[in-house]
Amino acid sequence: MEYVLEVEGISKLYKNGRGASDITFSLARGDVLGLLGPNGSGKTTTMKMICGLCHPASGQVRIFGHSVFDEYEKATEKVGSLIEIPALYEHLTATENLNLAARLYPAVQKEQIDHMLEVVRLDSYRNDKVARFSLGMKQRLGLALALISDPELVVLDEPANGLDIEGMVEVREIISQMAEKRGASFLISSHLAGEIEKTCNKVAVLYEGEMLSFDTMEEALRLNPTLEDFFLAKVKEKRGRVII
Amino acid sequence: MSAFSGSIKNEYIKLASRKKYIVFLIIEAIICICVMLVQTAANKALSGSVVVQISNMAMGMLTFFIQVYIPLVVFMACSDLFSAEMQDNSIKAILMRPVSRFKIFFSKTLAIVLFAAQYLVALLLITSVLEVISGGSIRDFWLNLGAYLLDIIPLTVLVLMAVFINQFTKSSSLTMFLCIIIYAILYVLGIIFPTASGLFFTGYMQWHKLWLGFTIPFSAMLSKIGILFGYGLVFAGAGFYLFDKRDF
Repeated sequence: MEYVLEVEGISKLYKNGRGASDITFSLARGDVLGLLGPNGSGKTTTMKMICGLCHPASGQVRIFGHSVFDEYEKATEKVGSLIEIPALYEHLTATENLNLAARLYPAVQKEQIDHMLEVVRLDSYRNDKVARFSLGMKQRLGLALALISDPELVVLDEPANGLDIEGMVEVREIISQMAEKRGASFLISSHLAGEIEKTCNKVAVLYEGEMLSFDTMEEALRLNPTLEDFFLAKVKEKRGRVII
Repeated sequence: MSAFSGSIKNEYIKLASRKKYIVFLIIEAIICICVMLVQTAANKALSGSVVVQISNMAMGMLTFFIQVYIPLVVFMACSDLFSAEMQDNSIKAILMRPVSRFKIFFSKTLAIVLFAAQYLVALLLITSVLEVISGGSIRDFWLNLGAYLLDIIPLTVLVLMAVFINQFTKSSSLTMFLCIIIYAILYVLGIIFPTASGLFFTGYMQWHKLWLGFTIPFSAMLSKIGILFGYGLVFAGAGFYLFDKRDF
């Protein structure tokens, strides 16, 4: 099977002992994988390593068969990402921020910028400086930046951060539409089990930098009424292992 | 547009869209006008008994701007594109795009060099226009242009030094302070120890003086070129190494 994303035993530990250790999983076309874990469980570190923002101590990440560490440009050609708080230039307008990103993709046309602003409902704020935006608006612009190049793999770290209920539903709709119609794959992190349960078809549980499980949503919910119960069962299992 | 040229354009736009740099350009023009006015007033006050005139205004102003004013603009631009972006995390906006860190690092550096060169071009144009207005001539325009172009070389090394310093801290104000202090120390050391001044690249900021007018022997020139390029390579290599190894 040809995978969109292959993560093989990546580890990164910070001086405070936190980080991610020996993370392994793969993502096929159209998969929507949710990384579920509390704050400090290693979700963001894992995503940063996948996007090449930080260097792992060991392991390998391949996107469309290209190593992120050796062939960065080829590997990330069809990737869109939103990691932590959206990376925006506050002294520029929403359109100017999108223009900066679009300039790095030869195929992106001006119409796509207008379309993305409409998708994230920021078209009436297109000429406003980002510094004046609320957290939710910045998050929506961050999402537009992640999707501007029409990517085939989208990495979203806590995409619901700062969004209102309507915004969260819209993000879910965008994800399901892109996954179903275009076969795009998504890697989404969240500490909200309900959000992952509604959006993803696969789930990986991260806890204290360790990956406790990697299952399809069906498997995860087979013996547990909700994803929250599944998560708690996995954490309990891990704690039990530690005590023994 | 290739990723590299697109990236250079992006970095340049990021700088050009900040109002403070337009203000600096206006201040540059005001300084030149003030110098011309003082010169005219002095001439009038002395009723022509002693003529106070900078023989070539473009070259006279270059000495001040290339050693003091433009380095300050360069330090500010470097801290805006490196440490300030690391501080507010906006650097991730480009790091998450399909552009290698090598291209990102050098596109930022090149954009700063182009930006600094723009200040030089503006200075040349302003001083030439003022020269004409004050009744002088611009017969040395092409020679002046050559001098200005030559001074872009040490300016590039200065940019590389500032970029290198920017890799040590995420605080833009601290980086700015460090750049000014280090530049000032190197400059003063060159004055205190004139015999060793050839070893500090800050002594070459007026690079055109080596090439235009009375030139030194070619062998001596070669060693000076070597020193300047050596500094450039070390700053570029070390700066890129630190940038490439950094986790964001």
